[in-house]
Amino acid sequence: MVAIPQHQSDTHNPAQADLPLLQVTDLQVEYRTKRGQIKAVDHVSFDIWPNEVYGLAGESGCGKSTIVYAVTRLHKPPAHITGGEVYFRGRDVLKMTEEELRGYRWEHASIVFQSAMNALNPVITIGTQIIDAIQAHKPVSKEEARTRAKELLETVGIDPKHVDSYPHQLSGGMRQRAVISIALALNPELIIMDEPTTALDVVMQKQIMQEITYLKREFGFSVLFITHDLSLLVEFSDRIGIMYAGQIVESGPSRDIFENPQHPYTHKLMHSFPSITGPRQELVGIPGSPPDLISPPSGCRFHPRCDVAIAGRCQEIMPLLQIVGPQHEAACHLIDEKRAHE
Amino acid sequence: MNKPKDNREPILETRNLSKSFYVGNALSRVQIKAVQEANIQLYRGRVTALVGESGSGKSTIIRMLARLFDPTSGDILFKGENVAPVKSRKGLLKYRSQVQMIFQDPFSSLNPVHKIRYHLERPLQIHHKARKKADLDAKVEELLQRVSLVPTEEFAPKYPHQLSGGQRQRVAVARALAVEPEVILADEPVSMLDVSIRMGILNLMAKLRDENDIAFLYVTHDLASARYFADETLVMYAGYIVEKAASEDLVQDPKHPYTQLLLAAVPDPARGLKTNEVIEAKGENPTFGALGPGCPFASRCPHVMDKCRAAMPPVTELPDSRWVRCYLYEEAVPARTLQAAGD
Repeated sequence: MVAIPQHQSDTHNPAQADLPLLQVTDLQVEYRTKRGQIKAVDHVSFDIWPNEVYGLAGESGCGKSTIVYAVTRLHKPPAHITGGEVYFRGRDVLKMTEEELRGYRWEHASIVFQSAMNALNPVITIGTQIIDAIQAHKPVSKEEARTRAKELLETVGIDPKHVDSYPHQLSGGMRQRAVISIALALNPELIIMDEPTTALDVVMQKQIMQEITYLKREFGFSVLFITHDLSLLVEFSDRIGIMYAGQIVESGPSRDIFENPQHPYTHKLMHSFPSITGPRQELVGIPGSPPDLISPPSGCRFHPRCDVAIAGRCQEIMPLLQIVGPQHEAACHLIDEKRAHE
Repeated sequence: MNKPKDNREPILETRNLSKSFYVGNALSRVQIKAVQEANIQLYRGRVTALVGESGSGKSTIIRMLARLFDPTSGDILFKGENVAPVKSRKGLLKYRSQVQMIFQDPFSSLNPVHKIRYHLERPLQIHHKARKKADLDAKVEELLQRVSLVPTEEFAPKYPHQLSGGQRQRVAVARALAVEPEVILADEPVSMLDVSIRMGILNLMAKLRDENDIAFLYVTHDLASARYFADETLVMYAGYIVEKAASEDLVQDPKHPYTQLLLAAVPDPARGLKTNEVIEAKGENPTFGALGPGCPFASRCPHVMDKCRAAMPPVTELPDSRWVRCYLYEEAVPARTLQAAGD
């Protein structure tokens, strides 16, 4: 058995040039509720490299959004980080002071939230909201900030005259673009996008995703991309992590994950959504529902819904992530089984 | 999984169904034409999908069909009889015992203070399907069986919050089935559910279509699921149904420029990752108040002609019992208009 520790954590040397931008190691987040402790994120490790789009996929309640809050330290009680490390360019995010976090949060890592278009203040003009974001972080004059705001709007495809418009004067798609322009305002190295296009129609979604791809090429930032829309995630991400019940069960390059999934959950997930191309085939989805994380199943958390589970093994021993291909890891006992037969 | 097409009469049909809303106050009223001249036919044992973006009018159509909204003009024919003027409680009750609706949000469509059993008993009592306790119990059990909520005795006494989204939507399906309807109107029934459980609900409805010969109207914004579940698909844009075709024909060979744009925008990893073909049409769905007399897609259409801005194109029938409302196809095939004059 080739069990590999989830990730090496001895590479936090800032002098090293080929350093991941964001490095998450063994992260654990718990919600302490009246019903008990919920391990929403359980020993999750992943890293994001410069100029890369890393996608996190999984069903609602699997811990995707909790990770967003934890890596930006925006989590609030009852959520508590109970273990693990988050390093951004070699700096320990979990040890940052409030003052350091203020800089980290918008200058280095910005966030576009789900239905962010409703996050704009309705009684303040778009321009002022961008100017505020800039002036909160940079000692620039109002005129300079205003010029920059106009540039930013133009960058995301909004007529700069809208700098004096109020949010309600813009359509949903334009407001979402405005929010993205605020996220870009301080040239961050990482933009976290939590369901950035969920509330938009598909044509607008496609336009915005193309815009982001173009901006990424232009400015060279990385994206942590979270969406429940697997087709979109696979199409847009360079690498993907598949989460189930608080754990990453498989990660790898998008193409490998889509075409050659190794974990039964990933395999089923990739065959759960219909396509507009290819043969029209019977799809079954996945029977059952995701587990309650107060008392997660023993062993592999997916075993109650898995139709290829090995009796006596999968419900007892939790499988570890192991390498199954270039940059490709999966946590499933079947991989050992297959290897034993080879 | 498709049944061969047959030529039976439509069970539920709309003729030039239109709905306008007025917004604003007495001094500045703006008319919003949410649905214009919609012609839909639903057949027993068939699923018809109505695909459109938010604001295209698809929810207004389904609400008119459920008789929750009164149409501004046009007819709704149920088994050949116009039900649009029916207003009496008794008349509506009778209609709704044959035409049921499933809503998008299973978290708000079930009453949180009542058990699952109650949700299924109520329609049985209201529509006089069962009266005695023993009959009710038997019916409730049968309904839960049909939507695979087993063991039934475990689910019946639960409250909605104790169920997952998928299970709740199964309860909603069971509740619709309670009155033994001939038509089920499903308004985005899976869009709030997790990917892994969506197919289970669609397959359940497909089974009901096949086994109970129920006619479904499936309203969705997802072309891929329409292709999967629906026998034929209608595409809606800014209040107009612009194209109708067998679902497979529609995705293989879309005719209307809007359908083509929609298909190009659907993310689809199987089509090749990181496709970078740039979407041709710019702009967004129009705001209704600002619509001129012509085709609502004219301002975004890559093939726009002068006449597109002057008047809405009539229905052009094409082979394979499909049609499209676009001037591009007008010359190709001799047109036979179904629409009333004056559009």
